Amino acid sequence: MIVDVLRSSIPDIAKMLRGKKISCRELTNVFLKRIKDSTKLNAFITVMEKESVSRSEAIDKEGIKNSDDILKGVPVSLKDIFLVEGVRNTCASKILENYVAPYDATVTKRLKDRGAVVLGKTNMDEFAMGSSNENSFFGPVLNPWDNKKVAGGSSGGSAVAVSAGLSQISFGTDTGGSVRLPASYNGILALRPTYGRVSRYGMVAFSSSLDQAGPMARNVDDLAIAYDAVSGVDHKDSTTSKKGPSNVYEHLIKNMAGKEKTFSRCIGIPRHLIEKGVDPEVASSMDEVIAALKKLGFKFKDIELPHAKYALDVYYIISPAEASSNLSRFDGVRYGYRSKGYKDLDGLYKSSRREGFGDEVKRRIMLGTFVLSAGYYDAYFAKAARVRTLIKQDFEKAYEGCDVILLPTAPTTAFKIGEKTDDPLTMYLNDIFTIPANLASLPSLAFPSGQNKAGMPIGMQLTGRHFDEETLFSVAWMLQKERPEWFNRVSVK
Amino acid sequence: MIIDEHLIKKITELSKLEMKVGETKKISEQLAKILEHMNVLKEVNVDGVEPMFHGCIDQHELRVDEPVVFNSDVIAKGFFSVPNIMSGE
Amino acid sequence: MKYETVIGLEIHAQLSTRSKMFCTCATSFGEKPNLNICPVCSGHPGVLPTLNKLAVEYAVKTALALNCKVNHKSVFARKNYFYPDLPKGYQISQYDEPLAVNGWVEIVLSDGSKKKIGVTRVHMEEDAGKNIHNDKTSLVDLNRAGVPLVEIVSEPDLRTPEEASQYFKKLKTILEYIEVCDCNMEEGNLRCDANISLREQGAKKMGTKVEIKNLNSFRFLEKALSYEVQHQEKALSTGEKIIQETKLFDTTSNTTKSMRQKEGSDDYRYFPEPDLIPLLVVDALIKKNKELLPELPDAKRERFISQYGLSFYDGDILTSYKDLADYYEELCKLVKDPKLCSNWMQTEVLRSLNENKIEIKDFSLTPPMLSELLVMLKGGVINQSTAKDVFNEMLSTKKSAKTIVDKKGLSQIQDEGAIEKIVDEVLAGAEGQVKQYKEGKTNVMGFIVGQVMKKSNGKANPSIVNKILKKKLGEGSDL
Repeated sequence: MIVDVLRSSIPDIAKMLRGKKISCRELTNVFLKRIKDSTKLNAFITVMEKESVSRSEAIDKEGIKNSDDILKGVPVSLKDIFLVEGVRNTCASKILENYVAPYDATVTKRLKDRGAVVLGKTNMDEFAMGSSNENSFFGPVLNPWDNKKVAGGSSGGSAVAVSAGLSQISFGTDTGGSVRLPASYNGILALRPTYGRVSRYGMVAFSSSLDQAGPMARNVDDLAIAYDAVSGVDHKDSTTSKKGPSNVYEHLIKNMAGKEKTFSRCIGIPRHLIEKGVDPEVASSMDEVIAALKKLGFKFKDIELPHAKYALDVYYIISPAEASSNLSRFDGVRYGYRSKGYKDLDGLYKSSRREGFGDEVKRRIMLGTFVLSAGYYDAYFAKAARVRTLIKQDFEKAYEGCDVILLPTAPTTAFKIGEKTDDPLTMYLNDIFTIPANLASLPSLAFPSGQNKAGMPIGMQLTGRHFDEETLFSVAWMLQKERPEWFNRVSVK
Repeated sequence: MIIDEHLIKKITELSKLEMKVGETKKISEQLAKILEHMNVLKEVNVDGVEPMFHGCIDQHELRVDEPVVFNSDVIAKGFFSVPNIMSGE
Repeated sequence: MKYETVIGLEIHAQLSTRSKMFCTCATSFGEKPNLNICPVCSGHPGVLPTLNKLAVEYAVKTALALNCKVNHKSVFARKNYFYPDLPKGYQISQYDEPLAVNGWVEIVLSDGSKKKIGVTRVHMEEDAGKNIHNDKTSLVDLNRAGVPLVEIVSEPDLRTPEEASQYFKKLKTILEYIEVCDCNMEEGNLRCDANISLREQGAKKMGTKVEIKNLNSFRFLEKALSYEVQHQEKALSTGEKIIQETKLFDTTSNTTKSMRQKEGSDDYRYFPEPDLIPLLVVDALIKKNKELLPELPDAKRERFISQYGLSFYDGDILTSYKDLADYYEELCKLVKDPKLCSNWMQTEVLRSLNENKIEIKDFSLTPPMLSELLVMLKGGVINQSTAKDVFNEMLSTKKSAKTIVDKKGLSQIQDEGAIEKIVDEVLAGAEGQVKQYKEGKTNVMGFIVGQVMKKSNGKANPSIVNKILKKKLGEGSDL
């Protein structure tokens, strides 16, 4: 039974629920038990046992009709950055250790409205700052494929929740690669939608012009269903696009299923970016992916993204700058952690923030404060914003000659815990392939492409034109058909 | 880029962070290294290039002026209290 | 050494929208603390601002009324600093690209001369909460946090405290006319900060600027600036350097005092607000709001002066509030005597409003009601002093003028014969005064007229009394 569930996609589960092969309560219990048995992975910060059990019982009582939403009764998990009303939301920080959310994020609300069961809040790098999930106040998340290795970050908990079968799907956030990178380290899929496709309301802000919520799943169908469930304009978020909810899953089963032979696109490959600094096993995995795509009838083109080499610097100027401002509200005055040792107002601010924030967060706040400060704004922040435009223009030019860009998600597979924590810069380099898409507001889909000799998952990413998630899903769909062994993998232990 | 103590003091003051004596050296070195890496941006010519400050600029209908009540008890019961703003250094 | 004073004012006006600038909380004043708050305006995690459409329209109206050029694109920016009444740790304002620029306002000085004061910019921003200080703690109330503001920055064109006060007054009048702000300074709807510097007469370069914050009455504004001018002149003449600082006006000592500030605390690290897209204001919206503007104070004053033959002074008073001007015009339509209406508005009506601390909109006499009284006065049915009495009675009893006059039989005695009879009676009993009058003491006439009025219970038509007395006393005939 358990293994059945873990190998099932959401449509399979929907069938099981409607056919009464399993009740929602039983389904929820499967995942709750797995969560309990895997606490050493440290994937969850808050398990909503009471809430999810009562919700599942209510759903069973209501019954699930054929016409009900496909997500009804499906257990999901949320990165501890999406507010769930009445539930603790920590952002993996001491400064919000006991903060209870006064409202639902739009993502949360849309999932609840469709009948999903929220199992809990997953672990992450503090305030989404990190690529390994080693920056959490609640301890690091372990990679289920090798517990001595990192889960990846910042959405490490969500990635592990999916890859270790602790929830059907999860939602993380991607500012510089934070759903794609942990997805690839864990052998699962993740989508970073076009900026503006999913509401950021109720999603604690790290870098406002870069943050996007992203679904994470074990297969393409689940990923599409998850994306469709939350996307679409939100009047509470002025930075959402005007487009309504997406309909990718319907597109896949209507236009792709059975018609794969007619689908062809041109894949662009920026070879100049991959020439050095990529693990040989990652490089050869990419060759395998290219071979599979060739077989499927895709065409290829070498493309150039001349300014992508500056992406890391641009990102590490813009995101800390926005973060330094976004995190000013955490001052111990109205909610969250307030230090006990202060004499005056200034002391209250300084002690609370000093004691409440971790080192990486403080480092980025300082970096961000610096690049915005008088005398440095033009040379750093304003300059970076202009180079960002150039990076965006590079992509626009590239898409004149291709439809989708293929890149590895990360230069390596998951590294050892503690291996890169001494030098922040070394850690930042994990993001070199994921960051460009964020800067250009483009959608990017990470998918698993096998494992290395040590059994560690490798992942690739497909980056598309603005609002062209459909093409990304179509390509992923075809790869899933062609190389099914890469998908639907669960580390069942 | 020289990140001296004076600069660290200014930054920590603006961001209300506090560095203990031993910590300033380490953070100065880390920040200096990061900023050193960023010098590479100097070589990029951005003449005539507009800066990009937003991820998506789709125009929305502006919000109609209609008050809605939120259960403010969840956020505060009466005043927030802080040490007297006027006293202290 | 002669010094020139250079003053610029920054005025913040709360827009009278029903909801806040960036969230749906109510903006009502005087509620219990932290009642009108939500996660957005109290800076909770994950919240995002949503711009109030009416606030934009009000801001555009303000810019147009101040003759500004409204920018088609303006950008919101974050002003970053820590303060308990600033829940997000930044204020959403506008910086590099404000809503409007390059306007002007005309002021009139006490010597009658007119001066154009430049308006550098008008931009939108959100208000902060309120702090109340007691002994050991400060208490923070966020009801006001997020209320929409327009900030109006003047060019440093003001040269005297009087000019500054006139400019502030003119702005208040304009804002009240276009109905975007309640302009209640006690409630903090309208606030003023001044920047002042001195330089040698004829010098081009500006002196060191001193900022004086929170000057929220015209009186305090003038006093604070006058004091600061004196203070700086004294300092400069002894060779002292002026330090750039921020001050407050101490109303008990009538002096300006320095606010201690930390070094570098004014580095606000402005950057464009990533949570709000650039605001696009199209020509159609500008045109619509321009058309919606009422006749503005200066234009109305000039029209009153020419249309109603009023003096500058009268025109200025009657147009100082739009409601007052509207009332006056309605009254004129009914009474058809602008001068009479002007006199009565400025004396009886304004006195009554001031005494009862109400505005013209709450005045119990409508123009039709008052016009009935004034028409009777104009037609000689009652005399001036009777009219004043009836006016007061109308206010206290809420009865109409006609009702009161009829009931009390207050109609003026117009009959010459009747009046002559009374005059004869008075003169008969005032032989002494008559003698004095004929000997040249002409001021005794007042006493005699007084007696006639008394004997007639105040109802004799004064001009007929005078005519008859002149005839009788001027003749020199024996009585």
